[in-house]
Amino acid sequence: MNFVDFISFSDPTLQKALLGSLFISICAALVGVFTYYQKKSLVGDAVAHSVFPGICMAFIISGTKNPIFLLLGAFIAGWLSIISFDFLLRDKRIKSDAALASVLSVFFGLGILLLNHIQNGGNANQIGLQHFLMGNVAAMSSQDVMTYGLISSFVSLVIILFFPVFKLISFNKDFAHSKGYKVKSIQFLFSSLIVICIAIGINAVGVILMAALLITPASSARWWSNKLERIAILAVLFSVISATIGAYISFSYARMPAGPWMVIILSVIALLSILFSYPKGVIYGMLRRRKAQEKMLVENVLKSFYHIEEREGEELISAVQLANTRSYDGAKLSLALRKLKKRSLVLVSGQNYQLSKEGRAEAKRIIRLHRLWELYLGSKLNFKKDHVHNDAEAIEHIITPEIEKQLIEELGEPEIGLHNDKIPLR
Amino acid sequence: MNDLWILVISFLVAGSCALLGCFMVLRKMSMMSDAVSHAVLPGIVIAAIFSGFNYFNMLLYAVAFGLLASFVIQWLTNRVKMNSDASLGIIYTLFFAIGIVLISMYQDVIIISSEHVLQGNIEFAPLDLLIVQEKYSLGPKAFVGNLFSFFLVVLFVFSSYKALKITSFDEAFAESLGINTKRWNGLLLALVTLVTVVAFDSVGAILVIGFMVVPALSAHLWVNKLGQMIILSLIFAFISCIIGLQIANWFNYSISGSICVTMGSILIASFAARKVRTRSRLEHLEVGNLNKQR
Repeated sequence: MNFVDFISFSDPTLQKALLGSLFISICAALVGVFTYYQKKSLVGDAVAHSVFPGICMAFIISGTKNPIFLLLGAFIAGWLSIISFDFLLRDKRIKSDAALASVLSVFFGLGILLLNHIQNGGNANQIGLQHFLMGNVAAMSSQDVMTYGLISSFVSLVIILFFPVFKLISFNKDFAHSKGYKVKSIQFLFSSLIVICIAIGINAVGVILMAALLITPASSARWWSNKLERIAILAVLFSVISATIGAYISFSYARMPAGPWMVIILSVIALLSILFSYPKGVIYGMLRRRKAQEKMLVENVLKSFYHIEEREGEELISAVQLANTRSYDGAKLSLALRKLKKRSLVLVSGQNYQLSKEGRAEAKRIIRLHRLWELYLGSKLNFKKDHVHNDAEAIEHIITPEIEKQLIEELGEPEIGLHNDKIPLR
Repeated sequence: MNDLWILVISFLVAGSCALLGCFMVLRKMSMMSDAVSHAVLPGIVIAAIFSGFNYFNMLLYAVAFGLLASFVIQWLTNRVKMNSDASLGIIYTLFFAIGIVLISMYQDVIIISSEHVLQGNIEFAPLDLLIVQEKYSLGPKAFVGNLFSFFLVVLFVFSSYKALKITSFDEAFAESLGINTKRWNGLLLALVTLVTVVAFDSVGAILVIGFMVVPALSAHLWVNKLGQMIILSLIFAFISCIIGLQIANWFNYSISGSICVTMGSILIASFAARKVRTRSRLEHLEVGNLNKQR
């Protein structure tokens, strides 16, 4: 029932809430992508706290809750906070984190005092100013939604138009400057967009959670791609999803506020991206590392087989002999032997093990890479003989056939290695 | 009598915040207190749901959530290698949002006003007394809580002053001396969480950041030595409390807001004074150089 109502989009409260939060979150996501890459995410947080006194001041002066006046007040206060932040940073002793924390808390304290002033004055219009602290989409009038929708579409449009320029400035300011861009004016434009976006956004989620609308979509999107365009599209997509679900929850359960739910869903998306994204995600990274470790272990055991064969000339080798060569951990050695048996690189006869034909070829390949690399380091790069082993030990697992071919050509099909050992070329 | 209690409580809050704030400022971790102070909200709400408004239960739950948040943030920054500000922003907003949702879910059971969350209720602190064995009053609960955390902070700073100092200025050097920097970082963060939580109840989620950072930063602009910085930040904090309380009384404003704005004015004054001092020093230098040239 609820769901049908939601899909049909007929309820006017829902229309307002959904449209309002969609406009605001899309605009914030676009701005957030660039603040994320300029490592200014928390500046947005500070600005969001700092617009609060501006709103109160605008109310004190105008005496109404006309959104245009309040926005103007918020805009001025937001800009003031950015200016005071930059001003504080001019003193080399003040670091950006302390400057941010100071600006944020002092501006907010000022806002609290102004709010007290309004409350003491008893203007009947004041009811609802609290909404700016916690945000309330449902309390927006349709005129508000219209205004905010127009402004945020304008901001989004400017960002899309200036996308390449902002991109350039976010990644390399000096290069942009050398290309003849007016870096300062562009940054002025961008800061203004941040402030406008925040001034509108706090209507939906309040001053504290506003930071999430800026930071979270961009930082979840960047787990999926390295291209800024794709990241921006994904960030917008995540915002749309969270705004829709947030609106649905607050529509279905009368008590639930949309804003905080939006933030929770955004954070869930972020955590899922951190854990499960491919190929940058934490879990995939763990699997990949584990696989690489296993591969190295198996290859090392193969090498041990070959070493024993080479040294002692016997093909039947016991586990104890293997363990002695590299002091393997018992569990790891049996794991490696199991894997080798499965790939039929090693044959079992009673208590002993023996390399199969394929196994010997594979072992030879790794030994070859190891000794080729040692020889290369020693003869071409003038490494000392006792400095090459560890390097070769690491790189033997990752040399590709192409590099192998080049090495053989470069060294002229050598047969004797650096330590007078035989290089098994075939 | 009530005014005196309020003054003492605000001294204790501002004192313990300023003490720890010095180290947070030097370690460039100021925004961590921001994150912790927002992240404790769900803990406070859960405590309120389960045990009414039992002051000490509230502290316990809040500390648990604050520690959880700082742990997750550290994990995201150090292990997952995220931008530290992004991980901070994501986690504290998530915790705060969960807190607000919980408040809305249990509207009938608990009454937490947004004013309490945002500006604390130091005004009413003297009315909530801690009573032992039904007759002896130990003073307001907020006083006992803040005295406890102030005592812990002073004890911590005094007992481990050297290790804290070295790790704050040069972590690599400290490690080379065999100091366990991870342990000190962890301890400091745990203490910041405790102080933030105790202070949160009195001055609110956002102003506690100002209490921590602003006096410490102002002191940092005047002196070069850590010991002097700590003493000066305490002095600034106490002056702000006295002036702030007066302002709040005159205009009927929120006490924590007034104190925070006073701290801000001291910061502005310190900043301006430093500008003037460096300028006059520069002029002095230039005159000296000119004389040399002649």
